[in-house]
Amino acid sequence: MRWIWILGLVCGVGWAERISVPFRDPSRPGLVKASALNGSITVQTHAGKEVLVEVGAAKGWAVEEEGSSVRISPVGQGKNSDLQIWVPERTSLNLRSVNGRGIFVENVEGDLDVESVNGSVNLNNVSGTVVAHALNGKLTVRLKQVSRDKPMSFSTLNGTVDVTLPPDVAANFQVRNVWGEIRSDFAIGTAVETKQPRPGKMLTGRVNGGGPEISFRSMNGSIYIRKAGVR
Amino acid sequence: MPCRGRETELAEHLEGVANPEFAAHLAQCPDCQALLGMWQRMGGWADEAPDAGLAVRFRQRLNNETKPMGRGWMRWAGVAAAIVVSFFAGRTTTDVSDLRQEVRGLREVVALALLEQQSASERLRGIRYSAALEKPDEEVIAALTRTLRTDSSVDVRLAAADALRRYARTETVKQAARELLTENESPMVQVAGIDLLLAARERGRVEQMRTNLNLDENVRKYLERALQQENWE
Amino acid sequence: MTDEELMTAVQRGDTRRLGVLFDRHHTALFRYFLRLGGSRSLSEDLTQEVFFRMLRAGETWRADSRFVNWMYRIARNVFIDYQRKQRWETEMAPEFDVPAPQGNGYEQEQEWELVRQALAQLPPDKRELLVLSRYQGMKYEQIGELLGVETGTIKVRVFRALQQLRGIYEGLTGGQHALSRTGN
Repeated sequence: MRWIWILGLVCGVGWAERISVPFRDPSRPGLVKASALNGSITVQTHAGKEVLVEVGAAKGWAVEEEGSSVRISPVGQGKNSDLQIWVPERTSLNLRSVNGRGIFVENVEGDLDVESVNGSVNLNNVSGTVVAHALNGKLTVRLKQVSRDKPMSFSTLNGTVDVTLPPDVAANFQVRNVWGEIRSDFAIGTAVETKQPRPGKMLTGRVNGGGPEISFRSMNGSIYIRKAGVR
Repeated sequence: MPCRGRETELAEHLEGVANPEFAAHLAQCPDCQALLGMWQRMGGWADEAPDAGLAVRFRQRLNNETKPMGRGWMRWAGVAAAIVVSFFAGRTTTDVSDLRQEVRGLREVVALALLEQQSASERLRGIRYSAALEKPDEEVIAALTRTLRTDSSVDVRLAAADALRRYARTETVKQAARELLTENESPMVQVAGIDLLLAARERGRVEQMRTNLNLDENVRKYLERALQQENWE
Repeated sequence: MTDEELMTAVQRGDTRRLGVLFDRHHTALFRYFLRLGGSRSLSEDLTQEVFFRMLRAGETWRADSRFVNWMYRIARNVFIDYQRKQRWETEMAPEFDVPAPQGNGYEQEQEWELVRQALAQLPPDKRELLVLSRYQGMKYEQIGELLGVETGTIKVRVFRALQQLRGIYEGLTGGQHALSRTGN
């Protein structure tokens, strides 16, 4: 059963406050879920086995541990409070932000599920799988290594999609952009779907022999698919 | 204190025990009538059913707790294979069509289990897997539709919309697509709703949206282009 | 196969049979927890927990007893444990003890909603009794067996619980329903 118990309620009074939350079972990769209404989320790695959470000023945050996951969410409608999180390198993330600068993640390896409404999303030097969406902001992802046989997806409405993948990634690409342009370092077949036409451009193709599906979607932004190491 | 001594009789009456003497009392006792009325009113709280996913989650956990090896959905495939083998061992060829039924059922169980996964990537895989089923049953289509409507990830919802294009004319799917257009949804998802409705030949529905003044500009632009493009065909 | 035969098979290690028992009884258990006052997701969690306790406490199963009674005995313990846990939680983090939203203005004052509210205000033992007899379709004899009480006592208690529920309900509706007809 998933018991939720409240580990701490952080009420910073003008300066930053930091708490440490251990995973109940540190031998398995944990999951960190965080959401912010009005503030950015930054996730970095550290050598420890626990999750460190630091909030800058303003209102309270609730931090809950639930089995092998840690959930961080704002209590009430905080003003501009940014969230900084340090996690073990192998951790899965589920991050949501509405207003503010957006979400920044670096060096984490795991299943990353990230969405921002008005801010940008920047995942730098990450590994594993990424499912990421930025409605109005720019989506930048640099994947060091990808999990074998796992699908991924990247999308924006108005922002640029800029994804860098390892040169040997084996996948089936699906790229759809309604009004914006598509550029790729990888050779993708130029087959345009014609059976059930929908507005916009649609490219599908196998890369390095094919594999799981990787989708890239945008309406107004540009889509750039880059091969790591190519300028 | 009204009706002292009638406690047992009234309780038995509720359980359906016929008792003419008590029935006569009940006919002229407002207090007992009121209690019976309360009992009947309780029936107004209708039965609710748990989510269909509960059974799937239970089996997943049962599997986890009783077989601690393997990982993720591969274990499901393993279970499916084991059951298939045991079927072959015990059955003659006349049962092959039965067997097909069973196997198809198991594939669907795997599809449903994948759609319930915590990882968005696994759910994307579940969508691919479901879409690849030769003839998914209503439960799978309903699960995909639920994913389209309620998944926590926009990308997963868009992938579900793509997978459901084949079944766009199904009533469940049409219904969901219509709701996407009326509810306060992300423009990306609304556009997917337009695609689905056009695939279902529900052009009228899409045209109706033009009158919605609150429509997002991006959605409106897409809608006009989509309707125009349909005209060329 | 009967429930009892299935449970005996589970006890002997054929754990897959638990799935059959789950299919047969999980909806009833879900409704039991829901009407005792659980949310949908809590009721789903507690329902699952009942079956996993069967797995862990399989040795307490006696092949000659009635499965459904044993199941409800476990379900009652699961619910009691949950409530204990709840108390512990609120003691540990009093800041977080936000009261649950009470019936507020926009909620439709439907009859069944009033029934739900009235039941929620009933003392837990009386609520349980009415849930078992009215919604779970259990006979007084069976309830007596489950609670370890004479059947005759159960009948009187059901009467009293119903009487109190009626009082609460009339308080909620301002007494308009006090003389509603029963059609009998």
